[in-house]
This record gives sequence, structure tokens and C-alpha cells, in this order.
Amino acid sequence: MHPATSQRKAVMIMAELLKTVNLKKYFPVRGGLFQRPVAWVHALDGVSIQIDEGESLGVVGESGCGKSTLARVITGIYDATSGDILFKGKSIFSKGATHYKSIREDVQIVFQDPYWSLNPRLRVMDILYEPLENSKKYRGVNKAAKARELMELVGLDPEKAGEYPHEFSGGQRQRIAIARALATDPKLLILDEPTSAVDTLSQAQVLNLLADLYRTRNVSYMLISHDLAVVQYICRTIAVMYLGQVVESGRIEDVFENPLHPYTMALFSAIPSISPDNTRERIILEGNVPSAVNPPKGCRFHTRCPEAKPECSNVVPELKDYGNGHSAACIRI
Amino acid sequence: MIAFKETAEKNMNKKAGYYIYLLKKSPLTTAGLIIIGILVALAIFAPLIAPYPQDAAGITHVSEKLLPPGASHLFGTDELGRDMFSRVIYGTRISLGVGTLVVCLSLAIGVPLGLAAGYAGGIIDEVIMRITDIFLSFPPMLLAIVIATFLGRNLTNAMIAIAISWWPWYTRLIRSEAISLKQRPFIEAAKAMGTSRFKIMFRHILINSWSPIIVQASMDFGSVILTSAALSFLGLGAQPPQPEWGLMLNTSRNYFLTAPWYSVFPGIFMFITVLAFNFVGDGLREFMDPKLRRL
Repeated sequence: MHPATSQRKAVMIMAELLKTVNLKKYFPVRGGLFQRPVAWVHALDGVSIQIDEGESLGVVGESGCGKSTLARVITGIYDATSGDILFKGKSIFSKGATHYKSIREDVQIVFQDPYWSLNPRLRVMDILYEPLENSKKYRGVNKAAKARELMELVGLDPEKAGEYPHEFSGGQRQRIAIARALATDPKLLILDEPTSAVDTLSQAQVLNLLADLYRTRNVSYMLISHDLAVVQYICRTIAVMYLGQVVESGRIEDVFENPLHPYTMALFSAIPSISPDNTRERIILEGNVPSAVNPPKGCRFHTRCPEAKPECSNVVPELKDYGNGHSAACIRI
Repeated sequence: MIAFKETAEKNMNKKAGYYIYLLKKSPLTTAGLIIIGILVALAIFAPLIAPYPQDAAGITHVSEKLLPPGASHLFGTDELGRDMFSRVIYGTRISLGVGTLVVCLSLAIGVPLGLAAGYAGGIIDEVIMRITDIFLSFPPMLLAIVIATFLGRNLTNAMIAIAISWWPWYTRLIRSEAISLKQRPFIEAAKAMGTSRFKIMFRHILINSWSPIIVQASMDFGSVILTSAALSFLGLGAQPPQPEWGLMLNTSRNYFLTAPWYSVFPGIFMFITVLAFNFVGDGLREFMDPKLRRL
């Protein structure tokens, strides 16, 4: 077992927290005289994922596969083109603005870039107070006291809450971003590559902080990363994305030990090993990721798949469960 | 809380020292600030400084007309025997007042529209930008003349006319800032937190786009004062007996050869005022853009 999860009390009843149903997000490519959409970027094309209460889902995939778009659609930064997002079984789009707003408190996000994710002209205490300002529930909360509490929670000097973000290092800023995300005591924290823009030492500190918070607080994670080691350290389930679709998902042990989809195999073979007698074969994929404007027909991976068959270019593979929640979308399995 | 105050104070001291250092490095900006300070003092204390305050209000003494500068009349007198020094000092009040009001009015119209256009984008942006295009397609002076003629000849209408021809510049400026800022993760974070659009625009975007606006506004101060003087010169702004510099220049034309002091002193004041605001505007731009800072 990995350190983050081994010390956490086993949650017996796995209640579903957040679920996306066939979620699609297309971005228009505008052109011509009137800036009409001439094509669509299929950033998310039918993504269905599920995060249970107290669970931690890692979303992996190469650049441009739609990981960050998924986070932005779930947090309401982008509107979904179609599909649904259920939070505790209720669609977040269904009941109008008030329901949507209460979800904004329960689902928070931490961004990759700690330099621009904090408004440079606001004091840290104002930044930390902002999520509380948006809800009547927190009216009357003492700003300075709350700021101190949050700073302490993420291991920063509470005396510095009156300073501006530029007075902190990258790792410290990422902690401030995490503190801000935790201000409303959310049920789900979406971490969009929280460690890829900070230096190695801070990376370790941020990861340990995230692991600690996961253990001590009643919060679920959705961790987006292209660093598989990070996902392995924090997460208990994993979803592998390729060109806007989930190609494989399941418990992290199952997926890592027995990857079913050829893309997952190739992705995992790219993890560097420090063992000198590692005999694992590197699977090197040919070519580039196809354009999301015009994704390949059939299985999206067939243009680069080392095991592709002729029918792969015609049949769209369904995500099928192969036991213990381990599912993959490939017709060859 | 006490600890916060202490750090804040320390920062303030650090900042004050830094500003003094910058001012020392930029003598023109310092000169501009000092001149503006003097002009503001003149405007505020005009009744105490001016030897003949009633002359500014238009009391005439025809027997003392067109006296050259001397001990009793520092800048001489005009064709109706009024003390030019008093009138020029009172003119500072009008010009600085016009500058402040017009710039504030232009900001009040231009900034919200620019924020809305830049942040909302799409059709709202398109509509607002086409409206600014309409205003910008006329030469600003011509537009101001037309508007002032339509509204009627007085100083208030001249100010409205200038503001109407001025705001599109601020709209354009803040729109471009808003467009570049709205992609920043801190705006996305605010959206994800459920912060309202209004708050995002006025708190997150405006606070980060202040510097170019302040630079532009300080430069415009001088231009606005010039434009309003020009309108008054053409008879579309201040009306006699208001002690407006442009108006004084207009009436002094006939006496230019015989009584040059009549036109020279209002002209010098206008020149110095515009120059001072331009110095300060340039200085501010250098402070706010470290790439231009000559340190």
C-alpha cells in the first residue's frame, strides 16, 4: 500500500460523490469573415468518471488529452457542451443557480501555476477569504483569524497573512492555493497538476501536505497529472485519458499491475526505473497525437496502436468492466 | 492583527524609501510633481493669493486698462482694467477642475464599458467596440466642437463634450487589459469559487489593470486642459467674464502687439501645466514598466 492511503481509516460505505455522465466539451475553431465556428476541437468526448466519497482519483494522459478541460468543466469554469455532472446524485445543471452555487463551495480546484493562480494585487488574507465571501453561510467569519487558521493548516507562518503573494516562493504559493481551496471545507478537491510548476524540493513538500490533508480531512481528491509517480503516491483509483476519452480506469493496483489497454501499457512503460536489471521493454509509440479537431474514426488510438487490427478503424470500443471496477475500452481484450 | 500592522508598516516604509529613490533618479518627474503641487496650492488658496479676487469675478476698472506688469499689477491688467495675476490664478482653479472632472467622467464611462467588453467578449464586446469606433472615427477636437455647439455654449457643456469624445480611449485600453487578464488562472479560480462576474471584473481585473489607466489619465490631464482652453478660445467653452486661460487668450488677440503681457501670462501657465502633467505621466509609465525604467 502506498503511504497516503495506508493510514487512512477504511471507509466502509462508498457513497458516490461526483459522477460525470457522457460529458462532452467542444471548443469552436472560428474562422472566416463572420468568425463563425468552422470546426470543433473535441476536448472531451463522452467522459464518464466517478469519484466516491473519501476516494482519490488520478487522471493521467499526455498533453492535450483533455485532463485539464475535464477539471475546468467540473468546476464550472467552462460550460459543458453536453452530458451531465452529478454531485451526490443530483445534476449540477438541473436546479438553477442556487444549487450550482452551493456546489462551488463543495468542489474546489488547485491550479498548476502557483504564480498566476493568486491575484498579485491582493493580500494573502484577502485571497484566502474570497471563497467565504461568496456564501452567506460564512458571513461574520473573522478574516484575519480564518487566514491564520488556514495558513497554519498548510504549514505556513500565520504572521505572513498580511503580505502579498510575490513575497512567497513557488512552493509556498501552491500551499496558499491549497489553503484557499480548503477554506470552504470542500468535499472534493480537484488538483490540476499541483506539483509540475514547482521545484523538486517543494514538490515533495506539497505532495506530503496533500497526503496529510487527505488522511486527516474528510475530502476526496481528483488529481490530474502526467507524473505517474505522483498519482501512485496519492491516489487509489486511476483513469487514463487519450484524446478526450477515458481508455482505462480502475483501482490503481489493478491498473498498474495489469494494464489492459495498449495505450496504458505504452504510458506505463515510459516510467523511468532506477533498477539496473530492469528488463521491462519500452513501448515506443509512433507518430504524433492526432488532432482533436478531426479525431480518428473507430478507436481513437488505432493510428498509433502497436497492436491495431483493421477493424479498429471502424468499431468504436466501449468501456467494459473486466472485474473489480477495472475497465478498459479496447476491442482486442 | 498587531503583527499584520507591523509588517504592513515596515512595507510602507520600504515602499516610501523606494519611491524617494525613484524620484531622485528622475528629476523631470519630480519637477512635474512639484509644479502640479504648486498649481494645486494656487487653485485652493486663490482667494488668499490673488491681490484682487473681485477682478476674477469680472469687476471692471476701465481707467486702469492695459497697464504693463508692475508693482501693483504683477502681470499687468487687461482691456477692462482687471488684474491679470488674479485672473490667471483663478484660471488655475478652472483648468485643474476641468481636467479632474473630465478625466473622472471619461473614466466613469470608459472603464466599466471596457471591463464589460473585455471580460464578456462575444456580442457585448462587438457592440461596445463598434460604438467606440464610431466615436474614434471623428477627430476628437471636431467631435467636441460639434457636441459643445449642440449642447450650448458654456463650460459645463464643454466638459461634457470633451468627456464624450474622450472615454473610448479608456474603453479600448481597459478592454485589452481585461482580455489578457481573463485567461489567468486566478480569474478561473475566482469563477470556480463562485465569485460573481461583477466582483471578478471590478476586483480581480480592474485592480490588475490600474497602472496603464493611471498613466493614461495623468497624460490626458494636460491634453484635456488644452482641449478645454481651445474650446473656450473658440467661444464654445467658458464665457466672459470667467477667468479661463483659453478665453483670456482669445480676448488678448487684439492687443497682442500693444500689450503682450495680456496673452503671454495665461499662455505660460497653460504651457507649464500641460508640461508638468506630461512629465508626471511619462515618469509614472517608467515606474510602472520596469523595462522602461532608467535606473
